[in-house]
Amino acid sequence: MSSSSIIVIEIKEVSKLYPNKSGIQNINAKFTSGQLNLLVGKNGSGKTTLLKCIMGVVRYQGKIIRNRSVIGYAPEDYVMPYFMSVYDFLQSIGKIKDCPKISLEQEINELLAYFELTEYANRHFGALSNGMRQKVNLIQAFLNRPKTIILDEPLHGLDQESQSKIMKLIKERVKESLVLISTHYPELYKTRKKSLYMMEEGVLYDRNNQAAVSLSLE
Amino acid sequence: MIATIRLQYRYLLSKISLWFLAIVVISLTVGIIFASGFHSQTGASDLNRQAMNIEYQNETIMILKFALIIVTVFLTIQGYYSQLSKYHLFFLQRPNGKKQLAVSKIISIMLIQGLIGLHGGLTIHLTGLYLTPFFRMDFLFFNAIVQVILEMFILGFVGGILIQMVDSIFSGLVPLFLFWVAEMNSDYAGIISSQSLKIVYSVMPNPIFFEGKWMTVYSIEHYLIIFVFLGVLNLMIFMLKDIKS
Repeated sequence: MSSSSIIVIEIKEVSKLYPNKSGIQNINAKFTSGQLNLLVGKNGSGKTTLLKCIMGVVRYQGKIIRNRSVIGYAPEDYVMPYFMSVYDFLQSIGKIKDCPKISLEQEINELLAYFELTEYANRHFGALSNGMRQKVNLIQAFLNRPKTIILDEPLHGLDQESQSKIMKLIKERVKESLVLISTHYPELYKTRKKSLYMMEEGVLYDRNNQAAVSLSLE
Repeated sequence: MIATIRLQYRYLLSKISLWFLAIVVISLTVGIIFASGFHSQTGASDLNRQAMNIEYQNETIMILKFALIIVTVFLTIQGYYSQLSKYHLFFLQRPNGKKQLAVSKIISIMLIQGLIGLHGGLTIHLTGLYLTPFFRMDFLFFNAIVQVILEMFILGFVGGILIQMVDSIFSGLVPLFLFWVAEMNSDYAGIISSQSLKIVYSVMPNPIFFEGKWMTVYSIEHYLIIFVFLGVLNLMIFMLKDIKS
């Protein structure tokens, strides 16, 4: 990958505090493409809050620099439309993400086949198991090959075979996109090119150089 | 934008919502048909046509108002309460996704309100024309039905704004309370003599029957300004507030 195509998300002194005092405090970090960015931490440590700040869906103090392109985001907590078929849902998400019609159909079919969901394409979400819904949640994030992919607990609810498949796909996408994953199981992502960030009570630590990146720019 | 609206509908019209809306629409239709008095002897309804017509108009517009306020409260809670909006993040993957989501939400809710209002208006007129000997087409009555739909759009905005600000299902019930207050005091002389009722009626174009005709307390232009103001305020709050899902 040439240096000009490197994708970066730069977080400068970002804080987001909720009324119950939880949230994130004074985060500084730089996530780059070409490696797997893993965000680990206990429940309630602020991982999802940081991802929401990057997505721009919550207001925060500080600055986040990223290019304003489509993001592929798979949330941890989501609801699927009960009366919609898997294919229609993916097609709608693809259109929302400005995916060209011809490539969209091909991409949906390829991803459905990859996750062995082709036979469920025309079924409503009401007829799908939680694992299948999670696969669709991940597929929609990968649609239109976004330059930034953010996955919140992507392995949640998946069997071992599906976990291997998603990790293989993530490794592929790391080559062309900035991939940021929030997870409780960093050891499952077996790749040399990975950066580990630890969230603890709203503070971000860079596990690669054992420093609190929250304070690194102070 | 069409894809956003389409997906928004699929979320708004969940299994429970469809059942609920179907029950409301069926009740509305049956209520209007029965209000025509088609089952009573034609001679009775033929006796005093003018009085019967006024009674039919009053009853049916009341049924329509109640059906629409229930739908409005239900849809605004369904659309804006954070615990029922855990799908928002799917829409926010594109840079201007939040704006599109906000607009699509308003359009989707208004379209359902409008369609149910249209169904009610058509049912009232068709039932009146074909099942009663007394019903006559009346522009002011037709106008009152349109104003009921506008009133529900406005109350939908009020509900949406309150739910976003307080994030409680109970704040979504405020439009029902406002409607109840307006409806319980729908006497023109009473309204103009009470400052608080004037305020309520300045926000919602609740049509009242006064001196033999249908009217609203303020002009249609006044209510259109309120409608635009509350619509913009609703959008702005959505844009500025955190997505809690």
